[in-house]
Amino acid sequence: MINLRAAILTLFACAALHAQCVPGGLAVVVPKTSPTDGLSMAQLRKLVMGDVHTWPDKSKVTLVSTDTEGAVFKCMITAVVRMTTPEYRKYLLTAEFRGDEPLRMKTVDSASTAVRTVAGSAGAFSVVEASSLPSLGGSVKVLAINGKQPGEPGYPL
Amino acid sequence: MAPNRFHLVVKALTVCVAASLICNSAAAQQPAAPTQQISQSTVDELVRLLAAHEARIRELEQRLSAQSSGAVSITPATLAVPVAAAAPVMADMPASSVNAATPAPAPIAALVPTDQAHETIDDPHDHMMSLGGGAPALKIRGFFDFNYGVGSIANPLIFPEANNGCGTCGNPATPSHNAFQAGEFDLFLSSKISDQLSFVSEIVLGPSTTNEFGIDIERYQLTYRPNKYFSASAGRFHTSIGYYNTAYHHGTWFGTAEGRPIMYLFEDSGGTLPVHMVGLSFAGEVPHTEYLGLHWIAEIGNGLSSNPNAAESVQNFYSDRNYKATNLAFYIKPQFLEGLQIGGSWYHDGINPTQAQNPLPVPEIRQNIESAYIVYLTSKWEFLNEGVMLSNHVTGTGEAFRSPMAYTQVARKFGIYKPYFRYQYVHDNVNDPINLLKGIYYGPSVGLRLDFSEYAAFKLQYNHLFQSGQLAGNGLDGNLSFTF
Repeated sequence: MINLRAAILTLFACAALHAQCVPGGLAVVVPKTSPTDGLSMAQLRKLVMGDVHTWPDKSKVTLVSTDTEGAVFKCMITAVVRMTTPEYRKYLLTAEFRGDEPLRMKTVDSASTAVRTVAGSAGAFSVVEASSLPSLGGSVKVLAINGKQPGEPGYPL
Repeated sequence: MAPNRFHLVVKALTVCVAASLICNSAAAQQPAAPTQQISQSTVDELVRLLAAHEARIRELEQRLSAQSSGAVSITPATLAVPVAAAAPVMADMPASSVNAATPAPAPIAALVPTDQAHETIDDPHDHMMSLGGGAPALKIRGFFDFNYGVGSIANPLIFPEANNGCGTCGNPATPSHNAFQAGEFDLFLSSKISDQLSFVSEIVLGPSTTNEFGIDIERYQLTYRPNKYFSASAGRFHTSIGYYNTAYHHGTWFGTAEGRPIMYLFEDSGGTLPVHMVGLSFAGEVPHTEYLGLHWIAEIGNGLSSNPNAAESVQNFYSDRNYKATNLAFYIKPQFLEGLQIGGSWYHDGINPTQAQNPLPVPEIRQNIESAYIVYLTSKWEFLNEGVMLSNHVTGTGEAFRSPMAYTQVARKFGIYKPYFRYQYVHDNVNDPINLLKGIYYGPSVGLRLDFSEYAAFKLQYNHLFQSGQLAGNGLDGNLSFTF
């Protein structure tokens, strides 16, 4: 009985940990052909807010993402634009209603599809779990944020 | 079901399907031939074939798995990409810091076709219509609000069409009764025509004190935006006077409070400012001002009708003068404080009431409208402050009628609750020959917005309004607004 309780508690603890946005847990990836190697947090914020629509190579900025209800998307929105997902959706809607050009987004079924889509689409970027980077096989470029790579001290995502 | 039995059933079904396909194929090739029985040996052959394919798939899966698991271990070395020291690297920013050594193109092999992705519809409430064949898709979104008002100035302040709310606004006077009220049924239609061309429009159906629904195309705007430094729009749009007028349009769900500030009331609700313009609008960011976020806007178009009592004061088709209204606006959105926006505008028009369709014996007027604002908006805080000076100068006499107006609004979000407070002041010169709204209006409004759903909100607002020549009034209004 005690073992069962311990197991349940462990499961709950694991679930709670999983739901948290761990510092350093996110990575921004772009196609390997992108001339961009790094961004500041302010620039990343502008990208996600739809304030910037083109990269230096004139390709159109497109955010490739899995379900906006997913944990990675929520953590990304919290870390980058300090909003909740509903607030972010309302922000995009407001921008569109004002007649501004909204951020181009593509939704895909899974994180691996997101990465593969980014790899093959000029101007695309995606925010993925840093822990998944080893499995990407170098198909995409990982951007430095504020001059730091995932895993380095001071990395802001 | 046991795994073995499950596999057997799957195999049996597969065989049936394969056999059926073969039969169909055969039938297609020999339509006149009689149906042939499949022999046991054929079925056995098919099963063997399937088993071989399954084995081959398993082998390939194992190879793929081995490749991906043993590929890269994440170490600083593997992640060592030349970093541009977080310098600006985006196109819309100085490109000087872009790494000149562009990496070699990545191998494109094994990429999943991008048709596994689809263009986002940002949320489940978007409705798209497309004829296909590459034609632009039409996106439709709706807004509606429903109200219940109690008190003398509850509704006139929000829908100030009754005489006791806005003086001589031209609508039939009605006694103020408690009432359920339909708000605006707003259809927002937009379409991305090409990478640089887009169209937005708002079709609004709303009732008035006559209880009849009227229809208005409140906005129609074709925009060409080649880059962030320049965009050009043609159509009917909200004039860039101040902040509120272009930040909030007809969907009341967007606004924190109920109703617009009195100074920004729509023309057909007794408002004095030209909140709509029919003409051209140009806008963009000023290059090399990223830190400050300096933006510019220039507009030219038909000003309002020279007769303020015209049935439709926005000149959609016929203009009663050659003089065109112009408006110039600037604002900054500095990087150092996210959410801050400071701006101002200058509007100028020449109004000639003697040339109106229903002429008025009023000399020509030069109208100037100056505005300034400072707003701070975050996901939690909302702080809006605006001031406008409307000046009508009568030519010949040099007489000037000035009408200052301002409001402040503060709100703070606590989860789904957002209490807010607004205080407004409008002093429309009583001797002004063309202003509809006359007199002084000032007072507080306090309310609570409850976002009980992501796309629906309930607002409860209390208004206290002092009006020159009348007793101060109180009102309470409940508002249900949503998007669909």
